[in-house]
Amino acid sequence: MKLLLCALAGVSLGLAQSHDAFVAKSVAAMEARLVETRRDFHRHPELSNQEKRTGEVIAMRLRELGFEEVRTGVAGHGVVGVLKGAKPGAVVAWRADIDALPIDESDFAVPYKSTVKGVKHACGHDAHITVGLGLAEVLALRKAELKGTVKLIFQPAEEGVSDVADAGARLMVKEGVLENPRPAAIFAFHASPAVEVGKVAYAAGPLLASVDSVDIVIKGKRAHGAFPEDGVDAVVLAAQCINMLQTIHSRRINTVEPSVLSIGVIKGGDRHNVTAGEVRMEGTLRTFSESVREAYRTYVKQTLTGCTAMSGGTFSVEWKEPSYPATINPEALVKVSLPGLERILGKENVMSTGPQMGAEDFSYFQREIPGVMFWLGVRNEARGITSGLHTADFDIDEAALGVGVKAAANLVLDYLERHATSVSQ
Amino acid sequence: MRRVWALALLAGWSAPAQILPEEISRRAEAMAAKLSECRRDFHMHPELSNHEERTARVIAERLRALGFTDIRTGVARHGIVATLVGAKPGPVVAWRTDMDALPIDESTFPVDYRSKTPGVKHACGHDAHMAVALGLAELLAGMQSQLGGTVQFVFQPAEEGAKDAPEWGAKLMVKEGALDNPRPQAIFAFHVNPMIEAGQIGYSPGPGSAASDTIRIRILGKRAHGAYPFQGIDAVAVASQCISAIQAIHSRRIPTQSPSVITIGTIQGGDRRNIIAESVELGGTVRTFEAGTRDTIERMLGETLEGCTAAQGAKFELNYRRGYPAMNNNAALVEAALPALRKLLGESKVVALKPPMSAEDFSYFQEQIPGVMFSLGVRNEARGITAGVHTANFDLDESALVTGVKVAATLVLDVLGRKQ
Repeated sequence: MKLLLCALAGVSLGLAQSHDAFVAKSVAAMEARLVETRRDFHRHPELSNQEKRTGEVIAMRLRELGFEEVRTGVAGHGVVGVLKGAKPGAVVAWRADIDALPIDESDFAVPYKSTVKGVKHACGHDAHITVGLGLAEVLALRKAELKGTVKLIFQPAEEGVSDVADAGARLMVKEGVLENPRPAAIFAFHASPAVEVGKVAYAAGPLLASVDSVDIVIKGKRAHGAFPEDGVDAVVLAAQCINMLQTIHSRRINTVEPSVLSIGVIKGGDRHNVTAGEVRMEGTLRTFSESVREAYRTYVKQTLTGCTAMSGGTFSVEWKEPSYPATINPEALVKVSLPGLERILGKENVMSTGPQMGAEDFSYFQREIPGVMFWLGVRNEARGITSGLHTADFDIDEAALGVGVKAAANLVLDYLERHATSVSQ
Repeated sequence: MRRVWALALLAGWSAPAQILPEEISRRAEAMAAKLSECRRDFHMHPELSNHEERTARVIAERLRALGFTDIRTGVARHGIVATLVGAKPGPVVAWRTDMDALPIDESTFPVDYRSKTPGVKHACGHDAHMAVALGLAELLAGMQSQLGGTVQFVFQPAEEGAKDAPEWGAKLMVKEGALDNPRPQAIFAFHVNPMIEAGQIGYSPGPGSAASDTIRIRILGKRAHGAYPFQGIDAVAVASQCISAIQAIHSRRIPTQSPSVITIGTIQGGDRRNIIAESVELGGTVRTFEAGTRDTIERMLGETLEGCTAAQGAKFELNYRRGYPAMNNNAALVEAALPALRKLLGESKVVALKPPMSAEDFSYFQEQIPGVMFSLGVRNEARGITAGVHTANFDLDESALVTGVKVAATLVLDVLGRKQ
C-alpha cells in the first residue's frame, strides 16, 4: 500500500532529475568500453553452472569500482555486489544473468566470434552483464550522492540445468541473495531482437510464461513385428498419447488461459521389425498461471493413464528441471517506472508489449519482492540484425549497451529518489 | 502349371519306394557323429551373408569327395549347385540349404564349439541345414546305383539379406539359373525350429511366411521454439496422427480375411524438448500373404501419409522397399509327403504348425517350382535348449541332424519313387 502511494508520487514527479545529466555524460564516456566488454564476454561464453571466468571478471570489475561487498561463488559462479550510497535510503536490486548456450557459431561472420566451439552467447546475456557492469560504474561514480543501497546480482544458470535439483535464481534466493540487506524491488533487462535498438519495451502484468519440463516413458511389450498381438506396441500407444495430450489445451483448459504443451523429442524401438517395448518423449509446458500449471500435471497423468491402459501399456511421467513460474511484472511498479524511462529515452522509445511464451527464472526473484523485467531493444533492421534469441545468427546492435546503461541507471536512481522523497515527506 | 505338376506327383505317390525306411534310418544313424562334427565345424566358422567363402569351399570339397562331378560354384557369389544323377531315369528333385550366419556375438556362450569369429554366429541354424544337406548328399551318393532320377543340391548364400547389394540369395540364384539344366519338378528345404522338440518335423501347407517389406517414413515439419508451435509444423504431432491413421488401414480398408500387419518399430525425432521437431523418422515392416494385399497396402500407406501430413501442412517421404515374397508351401506336395514321413517317424512326430510370419527367401524358389519348407525340430526342453533363432543363446539338439537326414532322404526318394 505504501509502495502504491510512492508510485503515484513518482508519476506526478515526472520532472527532470538532478542525475539525468550526470548519467548521460558518464554513459557517453564509457560507450567504447561497453562494446569492448560485451565482445570479451561474447568471445568467452560459458555454459550454465560453468561460468567460472565470467564470474571472476565480474567480481574483479566490481572490486575495482569500489564496491564494499563483493560476494562470489553464490549459487555456483554467481556474484553479488553491494554499493552503499553516502546518503540513507532504500535498497534496490538489479539482476543480470551470465550463462551462454550450447549453440555453435563457428560459421557466424563477426570479429568477436566465440572462441569456444559449440558455445555461444545467443540469448544476449553478454549484453546483460555489460549493462550490469556499466550500471555499477555509473553508480560507483555517483556514490557520494546516492540515497540508499544498490545490490547488483549476477546470476548463473538462467538457461536451466537438468542435472541438479536447484540452480540459478531459485538457488540464489535459497542462498540468501535477497537478504542482508533485503531489496525493496528488483529490476532486470532482457535483450529483445523484436524491439529496435534505442527502445525499451514493457509489459504491465504477464511478461513470460512458466516453464516445466516433462519426461514421459510409454512402456509396452516387445514382440516380433509380424506378431503385434504377442506384445504391446509402444509406438502406437505413444502416438495415441500425443494426440490425446493435444486435446488438453483444446478441451480441458479455459480458452482464455494461454498454454502450450510441446513434445519436442521422441525416440523408441530398436528395430523396424520389432514392436517397440518403450518410447521416450521429452516435452515442455508453458502457462501463465499456477492453477493451469497444476491442472496440466493432473491432466497429463490422467491422459497417459487412460491412453496406455486401453491397450495394456503402462507409463511413467517425471516433471523435472528447468521448472520456472511465469514472469509477471507488478503493474504498479511498471507504471511508476515509466515516466523516468520516457524522460531519458523519449516517449516514443518506451513501448508497451504483450506476454510471450518464453520463460525466465527471474520469476523466482519476483516471488520474493516486487520485480520488473523490461525488454531492451537490440534489433537493427537496416543492418540486418534481426535473428531470434537462441539461434546461431543471433546478434545485437551494440548501441543498445549505452541505451541499456542509461535506462538502468535511471530506473535505479529514480527508484531511490522516489523512496527518498517519500521518506523526507 | 505348377499345380498340374503337383497333382501328377500326388497321383504317383502310392508307387512303392525302392528303399525301405529302415534302411534310410540305419544309414542316417550311422553318420550321427560325422553330422555333429560337420555342424560344429560350420558353427565355429560362421560367415556373414555374401561372405561365405570358407563355407562354400568346405561344401565343394566335401561334395567332390563324395564323387559329385557336376558342381557349379560361385553361383550368386558363394552359392553352389551340385547335381547327383541316379543310375536310372526319373524326375529331378532339388534340396535347398542356406549357408550364411548372423552378426550376433556368442563370445559368452558356454559351448565347446563356440564361434571363432567374434560378433558372428550361426544363430539361425544354417550350420545344421548344411550338415543335414551334406549328410543327405552322402546318403544318396551311397545309393546312386539304385537312384531313379536326379537330385539337385542348392546351397544358397545370403538368406539373411544383404543391404549393400541390389539382389542376393535365392532371387539371384534363380536369376543365375540355379533351377535350370536340369529343371527340378519340386524343391524342398528345412528350417530349424526351436519351438518343436528334436525328433519332430513340422509342416504347414499353403501360405507359410508372409511377404516382408521394409518401410522408412520421414515426416517433415518445420522447426520452431517449443513455446510457439504455431510458428512451425510439429512433426511429432503429425507423426503421431499418421501412426494412428496407419493402423486403420488394416481394420478399415483391407478385407478382414486377408491377413496383414503394418508395424512401426522405430520412431525418432526432435533435438530438444523445447524445440518443435522438424522431422520424425519412422521405420517399419509390412507383412502380407497375397500379392494384391501387398500392392494395396503400399498404395494406401502413401494415401494415408498424404492426407495426414497435408492436414497440418507437413510433408512426407515414404520409402517402401519390397523384401521376400510370401512363402507358399505347395499343399499337394505336403499332403503327398505326409504318409512316408509318418511311416518313418511315427504319427506323433509329424506335427501341423501354424504358418509362421517370419520371412524366408525360399519363396523365390517357390515362385518358380512347387516347393515345401519343413520345420526341423531342434528343441530339447530337458537340456534347456529352447532359445529362439536370432538370439545369442540359440543352440540345437544335434540329434535333430540325424532326423533331418532321414526325413530329407525320405522326402527326396518318395518323390523319385513316385515317378518310376
